[in-house]
Amino acid sequence: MNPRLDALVDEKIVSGRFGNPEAPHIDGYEASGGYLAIREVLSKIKPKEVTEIVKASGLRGRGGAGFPCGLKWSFVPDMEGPKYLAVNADEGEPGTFKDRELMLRDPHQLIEGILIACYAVGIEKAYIYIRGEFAAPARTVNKALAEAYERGYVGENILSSGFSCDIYTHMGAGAYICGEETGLIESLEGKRGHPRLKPPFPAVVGLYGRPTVVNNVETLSNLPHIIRNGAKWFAAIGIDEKNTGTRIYCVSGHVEKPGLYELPLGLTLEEIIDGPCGGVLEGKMLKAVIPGGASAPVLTAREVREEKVRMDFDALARAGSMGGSGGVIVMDETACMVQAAQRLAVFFEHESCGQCSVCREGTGWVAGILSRIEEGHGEPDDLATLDSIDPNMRGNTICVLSDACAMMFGAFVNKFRGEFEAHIESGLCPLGSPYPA
Amino acid sequence: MSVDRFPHSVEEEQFEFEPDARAELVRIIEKYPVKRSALIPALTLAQKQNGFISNAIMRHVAEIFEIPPMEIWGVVTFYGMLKTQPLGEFHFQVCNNLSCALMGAARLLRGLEARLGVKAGHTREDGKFSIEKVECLGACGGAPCLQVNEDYFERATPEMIEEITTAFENNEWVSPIGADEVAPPCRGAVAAAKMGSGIKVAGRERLSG
Repeated sequence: MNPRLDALVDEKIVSGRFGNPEAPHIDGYEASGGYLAIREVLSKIKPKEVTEIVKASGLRGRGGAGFPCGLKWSFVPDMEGPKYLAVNADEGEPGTFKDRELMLRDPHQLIEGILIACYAVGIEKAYIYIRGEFAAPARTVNKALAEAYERGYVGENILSSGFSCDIYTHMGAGAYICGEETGLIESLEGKRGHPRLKPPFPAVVGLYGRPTVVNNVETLSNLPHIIRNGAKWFAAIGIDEKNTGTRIYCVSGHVEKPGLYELPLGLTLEEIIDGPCGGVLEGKMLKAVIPGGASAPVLTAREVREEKVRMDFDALARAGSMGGSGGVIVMDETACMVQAAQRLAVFFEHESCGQCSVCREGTGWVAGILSRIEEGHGEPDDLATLDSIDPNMRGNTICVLSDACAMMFGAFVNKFRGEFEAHIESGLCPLGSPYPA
Repeated sequence: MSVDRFPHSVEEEQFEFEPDARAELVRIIEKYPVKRSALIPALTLAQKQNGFISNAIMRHVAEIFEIPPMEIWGVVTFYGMLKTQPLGEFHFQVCNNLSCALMGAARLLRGLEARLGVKAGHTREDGKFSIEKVECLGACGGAPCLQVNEDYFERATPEMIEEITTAFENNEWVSPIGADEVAPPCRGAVAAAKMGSGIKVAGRERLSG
């Protein structure tokens, strides 16, 4: 194994306090090194230097796109007037469940990360946009916020530094598309969560038309550690200088031990599944893995077992998939690929916001065709129709939900074509419809 | 696109926020430089009080925010958690996205429908239970997962369904262990703890009233 990875397989960064029942309470957080980073930042480091540290650390966004965090901040123009931070806690990418635990188990770490980001960019108001279903995480974060306000970490003139920052929680109400950063902003403005045309990007024109940074919970939770241990320390973890630090992989589906695994970037998918996850459920054969949430194109067992795809951003991109949100969905030999694709297509159809006809109609067509194939009513030219829909759904819409749907079904149909053909020819699911909708 | 999963909205008389909710709404509005940002929280608050978003609520909220009622309707119909029909006292949301499907969500849903005598997308006639098939709840490591009102129940089994529905029928609330607590460490331990013994429900208390 790469020596850069060895060091951290058994060490944790953002999930380091997950086993500490006192961590969600401010005393427990402070006792375990909490709020030291913001003290250091406010007393010794200039805002621009914080951005430089984060840039040098190589930290990339943990929400989906993997965009370099410091670079994103540097796009915010240096101008007078309010700027905002919108914290993306609208975790809804199927297969992903890390932000929920980060809020439940270490809410102060998130708050400290928010403060560091706000200080760096000159932001005085942050909104944590929490998905509506997350009532328990929201309660935990609100309680932690109240404690942090009381101790003077949040609010006016924080720790007598002259820096002020208010942090609020905002509950969503059940719409996947509000996890798209401009959809989130629209929703935060009290509207339907229709993503906006870009450019302008939120860094320039965001919430209430003002410069806005949108960062994921896990991304922000890394910041206190980067400040305390230094950019070099962080950049030394992970496979190379473009894939630094750890990720919390959310492993679900057919594995012995589903759960959250914080591991350095760059392990192979096989190492993760067979190592900490205890292997495929009941020792069955691996069939396919979705490596980064529903939008990430599926990988075959061959890609996992023989090509040994690595789980860092760039290796996954080279393999034609993506790191996405870190949601790893493992499927064994009993899983039907038509059903898997159909389940996800129905999801995308349900969650399409409807403003672009390509997506609204495209996701509907894909879901409809895949459903009829699965139900045994597939028609001979269905696969040709799917092939023709695929390119039209890519690059033609305001946001990437349409592209995500196309990438998803494109990968399933191309990599498991025989299984789709068998469904159409026999009018049956050869695997006996293991999990009907 | 979020659409109504229940039949068309019912008409009723008037709606006013109760004093506590009114005060809460004032606090919420203060969080934002632009009042409209409080719209969705306001609708959620109204739904909490009334059980669902009625036409009267939409008209009332439209007045508060000085927005045309039709625009409120546009927002309400966009968000899956805003309901235009009454739900059961115990509202079951069963995830049927991929991770849960792989782990037996369909069987779980069929069992639940049979146990409660109501189909997904409907509310039982006595108003006690309703079931909804939902997309990813964001708890895939605990698949199959379902949500009852605000609480998540993970690694749901037929035995767990039996246990919790029986409790609900007796007007007892059952909370999943550790819903608000900190569970053991990451990397497998979380999962292992959750796998444990079949039924992981605790913290029963009699519902008042």
